[in-house]
Amino acid sequence: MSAISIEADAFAPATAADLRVARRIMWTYISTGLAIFFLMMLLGIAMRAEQAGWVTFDPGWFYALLSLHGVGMITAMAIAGLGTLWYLVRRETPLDPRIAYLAYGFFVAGALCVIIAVFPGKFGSLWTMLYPLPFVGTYWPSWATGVWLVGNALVMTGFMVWCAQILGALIARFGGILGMLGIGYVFNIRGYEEAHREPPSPQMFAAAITAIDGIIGSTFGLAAGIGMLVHWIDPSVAIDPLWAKNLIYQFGHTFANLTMYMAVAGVYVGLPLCTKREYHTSKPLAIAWWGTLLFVIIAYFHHLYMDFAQAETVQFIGEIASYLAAIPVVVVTVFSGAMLVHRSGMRWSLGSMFLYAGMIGWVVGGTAAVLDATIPINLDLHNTLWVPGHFHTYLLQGVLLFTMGWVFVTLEQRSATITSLAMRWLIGGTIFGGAAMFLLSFYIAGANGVPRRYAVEPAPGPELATVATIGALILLAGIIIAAIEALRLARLPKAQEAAA
Amino acid sequence: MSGLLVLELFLAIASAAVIVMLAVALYGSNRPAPQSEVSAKGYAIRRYWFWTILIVAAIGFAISIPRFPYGSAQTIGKHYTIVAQQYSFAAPPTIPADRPVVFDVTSRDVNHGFAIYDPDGKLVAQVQAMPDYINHLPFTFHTRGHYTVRCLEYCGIAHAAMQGGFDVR
Amino acid sequence: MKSRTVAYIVLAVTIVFAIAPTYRGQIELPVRVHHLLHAMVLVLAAFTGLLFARSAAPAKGSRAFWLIVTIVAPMLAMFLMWPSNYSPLDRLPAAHTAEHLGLALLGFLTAYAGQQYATGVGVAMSLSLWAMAFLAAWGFGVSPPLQVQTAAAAPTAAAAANAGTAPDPHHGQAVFSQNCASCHGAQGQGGMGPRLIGESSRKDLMQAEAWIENPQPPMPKLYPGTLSAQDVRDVAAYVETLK
Repeated sequence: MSAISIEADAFAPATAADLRVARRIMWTYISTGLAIFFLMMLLGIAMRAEQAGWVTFDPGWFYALLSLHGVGMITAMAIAGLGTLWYLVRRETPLDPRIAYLAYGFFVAGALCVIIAVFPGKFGSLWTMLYPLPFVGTYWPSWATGVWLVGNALVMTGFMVWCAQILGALIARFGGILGMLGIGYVFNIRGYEEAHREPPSPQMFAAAITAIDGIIGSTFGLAAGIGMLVHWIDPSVAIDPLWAKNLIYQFGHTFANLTMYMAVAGVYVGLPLCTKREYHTSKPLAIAWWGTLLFVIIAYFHHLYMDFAQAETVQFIGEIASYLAAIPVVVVTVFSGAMLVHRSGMRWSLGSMFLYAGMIGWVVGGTAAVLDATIPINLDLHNTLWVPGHFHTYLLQGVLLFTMGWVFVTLEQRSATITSLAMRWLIGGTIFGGAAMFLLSFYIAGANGVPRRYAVEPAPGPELATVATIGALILLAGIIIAAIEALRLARLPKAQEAAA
Repeated sequence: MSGLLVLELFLAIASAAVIVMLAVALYGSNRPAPQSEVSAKGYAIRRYWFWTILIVAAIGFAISIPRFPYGSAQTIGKHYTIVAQQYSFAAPPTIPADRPVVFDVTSRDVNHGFAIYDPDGKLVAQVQAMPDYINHLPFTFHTRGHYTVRCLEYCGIAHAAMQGGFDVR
Repeated sequence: MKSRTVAYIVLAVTIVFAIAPTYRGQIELPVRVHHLLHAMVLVLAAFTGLLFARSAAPAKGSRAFWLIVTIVAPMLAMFLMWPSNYSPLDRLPAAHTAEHLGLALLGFLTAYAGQQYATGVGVAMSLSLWAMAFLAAWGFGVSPPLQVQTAAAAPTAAAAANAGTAPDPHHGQAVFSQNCASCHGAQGQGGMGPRLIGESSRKDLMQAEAWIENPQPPMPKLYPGTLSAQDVRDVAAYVETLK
């Protein structure tokens, strides 16, 4: 494949062959992401079962699995989302496929390092690896800390590669950062209309915000990660624990949050396909994404509410930013999504059902997050099981459903087939019912003050862990059935007028 | 604000959100309408919706400010030093009731949490215990009895067993 | 050609600015100031890179190479920002000068390679690099405002005062309930950690002391950080009494 000159050909239409390559990249990313997701889910169930007392293992292994589970899940969802976005950007402007595989290589190498740090290294400092924890009073060998840090740095490098490629392509395509963020459009709508110029499509906003905030977040993550790597090589290098905490949470919060904003591109493209309606960029949409661009990178201060040593102003900013981050979601994206579906006569295929349910899950998880981001409430909920409650809602009933919804919409469009009604009830019932049991047990335990990250929980933790384990097993069954159904759809012959 | 109260609030909002979203999707789904018709109505509603959300957020923020646990903690009440370490707390055995006290919390090794559970096992207050920093947690106890202290920041293999306690008299 | 001239002038300024602070003689700069100097070197170097990229011919062939350079250069720079009080490179003036020139080179490459890859990427990565250098100034090798060393060290200091005396199992019991009971149980009956009742049949006093001083994971090593030699002897003596 010859090199592509982005500046010259930013408007070159993608040929059928280009799209085939792009689709292959998307499926490589999505299938890797979902496969990692599935394995991490098994680890999650093992830990919940341990807390419920069904099985027992050494707490050292519990925390090692928890470390892998946390990093693995976020990386899995990110990989799937990045693949989808890459394909969607490729439809509008040329991208070099080799760079997509380069980023993929970094992700896989990083994942391998992280796995080696846990098996056999038994690294158990969790994704937060709050300094000086990975170096003090450890039960794992020092090399595991090093391999873990290197693995994380590799994942961040892959993310940086992806972000830089998309950033460069979008800048070329939309004539600079102002065009790319729709700033030129919002302040000159009439000029755009007169010139018959299109603003960036909604999914391009998702790509642009992911690229910009991704570079910002990885900068924080790499600063902390390399700082700790230097400390690992030379322990006499001092690191400020509060500084490390800020940097790591900035990266972690941004990365985790962005998985949602990556996956939402599936809604922007998928729901219009299901409803046979159009979704265009509007002024509120552009402005909402600017809000997201800013709030995603500063809302993380809510992770440090209980660090009273942190400047008080910053705590105020944390609460305001966390509140305001919710507004673009409920006022623009979810509202527009509901408007698309309302009286559209849409069929409830698995794809449309997952996309719509994902929006509901996003609102519910967001509500729990906003409540917890209120400082007086946080005083009673910080680091209780409420916190995993909210982000499991967000990831399992938001990001995962968006990803699965996008996969099913694509497969349904391709084969012009939808799943039988009984099968849809079975899959929907198991996934939503199981998830409700699994998630409610987190919230109830959190409200009762059961701490998170406890290998052995105080009452009523174990009873609720039992409920959670049963719920998670039902959910797992639903996901397995859905996966089999997806494979069946993928093997059907391609329909004539396939879109997507 | 007590955790259970927050849970009730959350369940109320969440179920309302689910019902509204389902109603929007299902109501009139057998009578399809053109997108332009739905959009015109939707945009009109969205304006009110935006201001409603913004005002609710502003009110929530205003209510929360006086309840922030920070502020003049260093000047009021008697101070008690709490030193956390893997996997125990050095804490005073008794704390007086009905009088403002301030816990000066720090750690000797890694990050820990200092979370106070009342005699009924309810989480009443917490703060992080950090090496190299002191966090000042002001609190006034009204209920007498034995309070349990748990570590709420992951600190190593025996994190779940890291406990302490004191009597409030 | 004029922009090339400007670019060379800025390059010269960058090099002078990178080298000058390394001839600081006996003046020890605080780590934070040093980091901020690095940040300024990087800003100048990135600016130079942007100027050169503007007047350079657009890259031909595979541009993936430039993308890797612009992403790896900031990470290497962060390594080179190894805080000066500790960096092995800083002990030799010549090495320190080389380190600063290396930083300047990496700053230049970040901007130049990024722009060669695609317009705008060099600017973004330069900002990322500058942000890393700036962030480093607030915590990388910078000792925190240690208000607490005294508070945290006090119990150990008190214990050190009566070091060297005979083992005192009574004091050992206090040390035990403070440091060991959460895993080994309040009476040594075991829990997350092994049962210690009857430990005297497996280890004598010397062996117990040696184990506490150098335990195998997962047991935390508390000596000499938390426990003094006397604490270790006392707690070992206490454990020997558990029957």
